This record gives sequence, structure tokens and C-alpha cells, in this order.
Amino acid sequence: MGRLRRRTFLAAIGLGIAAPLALKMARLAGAAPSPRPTRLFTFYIPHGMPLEHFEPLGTGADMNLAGSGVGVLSPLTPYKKYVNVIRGVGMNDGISNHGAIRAMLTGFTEGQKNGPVDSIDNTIAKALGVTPFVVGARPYTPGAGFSSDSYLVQHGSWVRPTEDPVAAADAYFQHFAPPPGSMQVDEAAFRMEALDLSAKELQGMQISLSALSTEKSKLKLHLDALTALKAGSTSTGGGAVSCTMRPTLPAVEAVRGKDPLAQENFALVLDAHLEAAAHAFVCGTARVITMQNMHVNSDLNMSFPGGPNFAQGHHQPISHSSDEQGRSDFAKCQQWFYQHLADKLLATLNQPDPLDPSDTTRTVLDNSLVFVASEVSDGAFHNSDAKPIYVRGIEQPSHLPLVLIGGGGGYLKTQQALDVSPNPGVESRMHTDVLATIAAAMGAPVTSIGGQSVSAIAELKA
Amino acid sequence: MRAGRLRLVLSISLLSGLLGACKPASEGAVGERPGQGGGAGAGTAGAAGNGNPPVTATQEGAKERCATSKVGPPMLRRLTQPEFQRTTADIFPQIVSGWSGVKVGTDSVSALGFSNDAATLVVSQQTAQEILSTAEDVATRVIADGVLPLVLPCASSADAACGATFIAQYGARLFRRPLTGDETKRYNDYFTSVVARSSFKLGIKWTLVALFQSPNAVYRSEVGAANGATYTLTQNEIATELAYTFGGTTPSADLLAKAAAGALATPEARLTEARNLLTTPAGKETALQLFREWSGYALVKARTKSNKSFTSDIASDMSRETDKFVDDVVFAKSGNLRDLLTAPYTFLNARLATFYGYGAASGADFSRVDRPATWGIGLLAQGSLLSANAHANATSPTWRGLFVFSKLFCNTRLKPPPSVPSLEEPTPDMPMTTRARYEVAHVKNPSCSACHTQWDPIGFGFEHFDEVGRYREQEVGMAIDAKGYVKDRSGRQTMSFDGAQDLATQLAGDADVTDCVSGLMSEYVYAGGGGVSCLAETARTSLATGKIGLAEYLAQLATEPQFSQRALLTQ
Repeated sequence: MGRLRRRTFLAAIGLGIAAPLALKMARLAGAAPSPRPTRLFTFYIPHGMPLEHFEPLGTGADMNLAGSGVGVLSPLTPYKKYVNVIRGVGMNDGISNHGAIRAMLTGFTEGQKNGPVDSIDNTIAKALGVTPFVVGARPYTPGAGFSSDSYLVQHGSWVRPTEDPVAAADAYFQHFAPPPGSMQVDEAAFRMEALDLSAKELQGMQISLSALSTEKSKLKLHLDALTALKAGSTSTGGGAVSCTMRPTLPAVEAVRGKDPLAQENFALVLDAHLEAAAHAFVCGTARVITMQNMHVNSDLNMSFPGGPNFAQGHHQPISHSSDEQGRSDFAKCQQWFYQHLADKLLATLNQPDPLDPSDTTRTVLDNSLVFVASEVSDGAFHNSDAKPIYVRGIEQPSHLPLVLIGGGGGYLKTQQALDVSPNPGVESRMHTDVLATIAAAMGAPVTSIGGQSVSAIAELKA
Repeated sequence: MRAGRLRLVLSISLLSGLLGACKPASEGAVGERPGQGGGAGAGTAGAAGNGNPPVTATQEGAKERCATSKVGPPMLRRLTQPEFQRTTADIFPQIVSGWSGVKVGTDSVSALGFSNDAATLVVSQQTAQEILSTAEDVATRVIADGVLPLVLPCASSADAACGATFIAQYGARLFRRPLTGDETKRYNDYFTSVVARSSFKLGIKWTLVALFQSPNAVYRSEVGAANGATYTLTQNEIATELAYTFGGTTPSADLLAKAAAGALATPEARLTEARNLLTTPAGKETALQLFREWSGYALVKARTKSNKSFTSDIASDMSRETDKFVDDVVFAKSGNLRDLLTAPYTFLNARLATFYGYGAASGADFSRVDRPATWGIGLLAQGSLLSANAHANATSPTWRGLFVFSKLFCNTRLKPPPSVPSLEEPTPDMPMTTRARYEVAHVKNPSCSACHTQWDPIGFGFEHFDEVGRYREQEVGMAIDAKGYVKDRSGRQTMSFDGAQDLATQLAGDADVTDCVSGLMSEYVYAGGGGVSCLAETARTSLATGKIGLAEYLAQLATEPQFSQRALLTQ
């Protein structure tokens, strides 16, 4: 084993990476490049942003993420070289916060354009042949049900995020689950046969109800779901997995048995989801994860243990604040999310990528995209465009607060704060172009979303 | 449609263009009512686009009255999460001890805020996985030592005949009808195949998994058989509809036996069953859920307030207070909508009595307490409703007014415009009442008033109740002005009042309110009704004319053609 390979092998072993994979990494160190193992994590923070506390100062190496007011982005400072702060972007069709959450990842206010439009995570996951996971920290209000104010992700129909981090971790690491009981036979075959049986019954119903188009659509969605379950679509797309066992997840264990929707558990649940997702990315058992924090108009009281300590609802009155103190408090709430993202996700991803043995200097963050977004630009104004607003009579810019973190497998030029609008301050760049950029970086380029032409943003490309 | 209403519809059409010009308002504008969804039918299957009725019920449609009832399209209804739960527990009571319940997640709600709309309840991959996981969990528990002999006494024989018994017995419970010959063969073949490769127990387990997740179990069929100009639902379909609609769970063996005997064919027979089912605990809970989802009062449990004395215990107490109030008015007293809106009492425990300031504590249990004069009457004075429709630190005349506007008058609010700034907060040196803030920002501001004058003035009527539902004489040292008015969509003032009591009394006598509420209730009971309006005209007329109360109204929905028939549709 050469010097480089030996060093790579030892480094990989030191990171707890499975020996066979570590050996493979060492063998492949310096070998010809192959498609990089990209991952996409979308992190939704509701209710917009007071931009005067968000905007970094400067760009490039001199970019100061703590630059404005409270410095919402200051938790990202250790990862500055991976950060893109995108200005000048607005919703193409998002005229209010209610429609905007549904448009954020689909491109359309009702998630519809001549029929349901897949959200971008599903489009990318399909292209990669992997399972798109959707998790959430209190993504809907208990008692109110999963309503249109919570619709962020659409995979044929709107997807209710997995609330419980334990269930999410079980799904990420199902490869390592012990077989149930003392199974003597391969029950997986029986499961497939049971699914087959149900699918055949559905097909029979489709024929007998062929005159009822709405019921036929319902049955088709059901049949497609069973087909996907039967296919046993893998979360890895057949790619390498770097772990040989489920990693230790203390934050996940800390919420086991707790109510994931309870206000008092919000911080614990958020941390647990981030921890599980980070380790799933490192292991490679998940490649596309969307995390939804709350929902439009969520009045979660921000006084929960471990929270930013404001005894008021996030939507009302915090995000609606128009006075100086209120907007500063709102900024601190939004900063809290970035802090936890940094501590629980980015810190874990900032390690050599065990799935990218061709270059051991590359981190998981180099190969990932962490997309942080909100459905509106300014919380107090509910606008989803990139036009000036007037706060206490003073004009200030507004745009969707979009941040990309990570190299996107080398696709992105990073460490930038840049305005991508065609006519800054007057015209918004369509947010669907950001979605197209993400898809391109993930190796799943798209030229249209829901029949609407889109193009990746050139200024973001390396 | 009555002529007056036709004029109103035309007025709405003309006006909507004008209202579309609403400029940015304050307070997050009209779409800000929390926790009730803001979508315009998002998440539903969408219209068929082939001449068939739309699949999504609407506010305006719910209110509509016709000379005769219309019949909705044939449909399949996916079981809701509570229906899965109760069904499983009823069929397999032997596994309930120590069982955490079904793994099916929270259901999506419709644009009307209902969680049982057939158009919204679909089986996505996520739901399919949850149903499969539930099925495997239930089946594993059923074959556990000590359980299987209780579920299947012949299990010790471990033979094919016992397997066939299991399939016939539990297949019929899960499908809510006897299995057909083809189905029986299919499941027996599967059972035999699994047993041949494993064991009798695993044969039972996987056959149960297949039965549990079968579309015949997952969907309630309301398709029926062609009968002249309509489809007539089968007796088993009617038994199923009765059981879930009025009992919240799967039909009992007794009800299925009546179906087999053809004993559910007449409206009278269905009415008897509906009345009986509504008296069961699950039936009563199902009916209460209707009131919760219509009015949203249980959302108080999700609210947080700046007022530290508004604890989660108080919020839960408020929700229970309204449960007990509705139960008493609707079921114990067989009250009608007028009673629901004007009953001069409520139900309090000591904690809540102290919180509201009633003085007389009534112990840990809830008991009836008469409201002091001027402290409001009926449902609209319930602390749960008032708190659920208020901000954390102030009342919201907008939200409270919108409740009356949309849930009692069935008006559809327009989407809020973009770029809506918040209300300015009062400053210590210039205190303002909430009403004054809203009047400045919404009513007197011409760019906002076109929309907000439709509901804010209604909401002013509740200003004697603070954001946590307590009565107050003053706000910031100033007298409360609770005068307001109701306008129709043409802008004509149809009602003026002073305070919540006056408003409730007038609403109780308004025919439009009865039409709206009875329509929404029929939409709930028929679970969307396939997007068709005018679902239960005979029963609605009986309710409107005071012949029957609300509980009887619900039961009489079982006698309507919509309950037992479906419309023939063209492709």
C-alpha cells in the first residue's frame, strides 16, 4: 500500500468508516474521477426574514456572515467557504404566504400546473433512483390536521413529513435493522406477495370503476404507491453505503417515546432530525432529505426549552413585527434555526466524505447541497418577491431569504453573496431557477418545472 | 335556487373583480386565521374535467338550497386515521392491551377544514407504507402466543380448514361484506402457499396482512348498483355508511346481519340505526368531532398566549368545556341551532371558573354554570372559540369576524393580497383599544376596507372578551365599544348589533345561518358529498323550521337520497 493510500486508509478507519470501504477509499485515492455522491438537504424555516438582520457584508473571501444587525447567518461562519447567499429571487406565482409554501418546492402556488407537480426533491430523487425522505419538526398544528398551510412537498400527492425522529432514523437505517423475531424464513417474499395481491385487486377495481375518473385517479395513485413499495425503492439508489451498522444517535434516543408534536419537545425533535439526517448522509443511506420546520402561520410559542426564549408565537406576533425590537427578536428566532443547523448537521457533514474515495480531502459538505429557504421574503409584509418594502417609512430591499451551503459535488461556485435578478430591485429572478440550479448540481438537470421553462443560474456555477 | 340568492351570486361575481383590487391591509390580512388552512382546495384530487361534479365541497356550495336534494357521484372513501384505529380495535379487541395503535398518520384536511373528505383521503406511498406497517404489526400481535387461540379457537388444529375459517370470518369483518368466491379462493391460495413455505401461524399472519391492506378494506365502497337513473347502494354499503358516519367505526355483526337480511332498505330503518349509533360513545365522539372541525374550537389547545395564566391545562379545560356544552345542548337537550347559539349557560370546573372570574368554584368536575347577564351566550361566547380566534397578546376582530363570516354565513373570503404589513402596535404614550387600531388600519383605510368591512365589524361584537376569552368592561382604561354590523356581499347592511349576546340572538334567527350550518354539517356527514351541494333538503328544511334539533338532523341525514343513492355519471 502506497503512502497516500495508507494514509487515506488510516484516516478513514479513524473516522469510524467500515474497513472494506476504507480500503476501497485507499485503493481509489487518486484514481480517475467518477460521479460524485451528491446529497440534498432542504431546510424550511417559515415566515421569511427581517433582511436587515440577515444580509452578509461583502462577498468572496471577505464576506462577513455576521455583518448585519443580529447577524442571522453568523452560525454559518465556520462554513463560510461553502456558503452562497442568493439575493434578488422571488416566487413566480407566490402572491401570499399561504400559496407560497406550496410553491416553494413545486414552483406553483397550489402545487398544480395542469395537474400535480412533483416537488423538486422528488424530481431529483427519481433521477438518482433514490428515496426522497421528508421529515418535520412540528410540521402541522396538533388538532388542526395536516392542512394546506403545511403542504411543502408533493410526491404525486402532498407528503406529511415524518414527525418522529426515531421513525425517521429507522427509515434511514433500515438496512441495519435486525430481522424481526426469530425469523426462520424469508418473510420479505411473503410481503411482496401480499402487495401483489393488493395491487391485483386495485387493478380489478380500476376496471370496474373505469367510468369514474376521479376514483380511477385515486386508485392509480394507490397502485403507484404499492408499485413503489414492491420495487423496494432503495434510499441509496444502489450506491455505496459507508456504515456497517446503525450509528449511535444520542439526540434521537433522547426523544424516543416523547410526543414529537409537543411544544416543549420542539428543540429536541429538531436536533434529533438534524442528527439523524447528517449521519444518514455520511453513511450514504439517504441522499435526498427535506426537513420542514413548522408551517405557514405556525404560532409555536418560542419559549420551549432550549429555544430562543421568546414567549410568543413564531408567526404572531414575532414574524409580524414591524418595530425595531420585534424585528430583532424575530431575527434571533431565525438565527436559532441556523445555529442548530450548523451544530447538528453542518458540523457532522464537515468531514471527509467516505463515499468519495477519489479525493479524501473532500468533505461530505463538498458533495452536498443544504438549501435553506422560506416561503416569504419579509415576515411582516408577506411578500414573496424581490422588491423594496418600507419598514417604519424607510425603504429597504426584500427578497426570498435563500441560502445554499455546500459545494454540490463541485458544481457550485461558493462563498458568494450575489444578486441574481435580471434587474436588481425591480425584477425578481424566478425561484424555479434556483430549483433548477439545485437539480443540476445534484446531477439531475431539468429544463422545465411543471411545463414552465427554467434554467440553472450561471452565476452560481463553478 | 331562490331568486334572491341568484341575485346574490351575480352580485358576488360582479363584486369579486372590485374586491380583487383590495390593497395591502394590516394584520396579515384575511388569510391569517391560524390553523384552519389557507388553501383553495390544495391537496385534493381536483375536478374530473369531464362534466362530472367537482370533487371538492365549497363554503358557498354548502349554503346553497334547492327544491330537492341532489345526489352525489359514486365514490370510494379511504378510512380516516380514527376509523382505522376503531375498526382494528373492534375487530381484534384481543390485541388492544399494550398496543400503541395504528401507524397511519394524521389525515389531510379539506378546504372546509374537514378531515374526512373523500376527495382528500388518498393512499400515497407514505400512507401505503403506514397501512402496511400497521397490518404487519396487527398481524404479528394476532399470531402471538396466547392471542391466536382467542382470535381463532381452531388454531390448535393448524389445518387448511382453520385457515379458511379465518379468511371467511375476518375477511368479512375487514371487507364489511362476505368475500366473493374469487376472493375466497385468492386468499386461501395465498394462505396455503405461505404455509407450505413456513408455518400455519405465518400463513395467518401474512393472509391477515393482505386482507388488512386490501383496497376492499382500506376504502369504504359507495358505488352501488345501477338502478334506473341512479345507483342504489348495496345493503352492505349502507350498513358500512351508517356505522362509520354515525358510529365512527366498522359495522357490527348485528348491523351486517341486518344488511344481509335486507333490513336497511327503508329510510325509517336507517333512521333507527343512525339514532342508535349516535348514542354510542364512538358515535357521540364522531358527532363532537363534526362540531370541532366545523367551528375549530379545539384549536385552543394549540394556542399560546402571552398571558401566563393561560396554561395548557386551561386550554384543555376550555376545549372540554365546549365539548360538554355541545353535548348538553345537542344531545342531552335535543337542541337546535338557535339553542346552540343562545343557551345561557356553560360547563366549568373550579380551575376554569377561577380563570374566567366566575367566582363560584365547582370542584374538579365540570358542572353547569349559568352565565352572568352580559357575559355572552351560546357557542360564540365559549372561551375556546374566542381564544382560538385571537392573537397571543390581543384579540382579533378580523379572525373572530371571519369565523362568523365563513362558518355561519358560508361566505368565501378572498385570498389576501401580497405584501401585507402588520398592524402597528400601540405605544405606551398613546394607548388605543384594539377596535380603534383595527378601525384605523382596516375599516377607515379605503384600500383595506372593501374586504375588511365584511368581517371586522362582526368581530367588534366580541370585544368584551379578551384574547383568552375572559369578559372585560374596559381595555387600556377605555370603555369597550362592541357595536357592529353584518353586511352581505353586495355591501348591504343586514344586521346591526351591540355586543356578542345581541349578535348571537340575531344570528340564531337568521335563515342564512341555518342554511349555512346545516349545509356544512351535511357536507361533513356525507364526507364531501362528491362536491355536490343541496345534499339533504328535507332534513335541512326540518331543521330550519324548528321541527327537529341538531342531533335528530344528523340522524335524519341517513334518510336522504344522498345517503343511499349515487348519481349515474357519463365518462
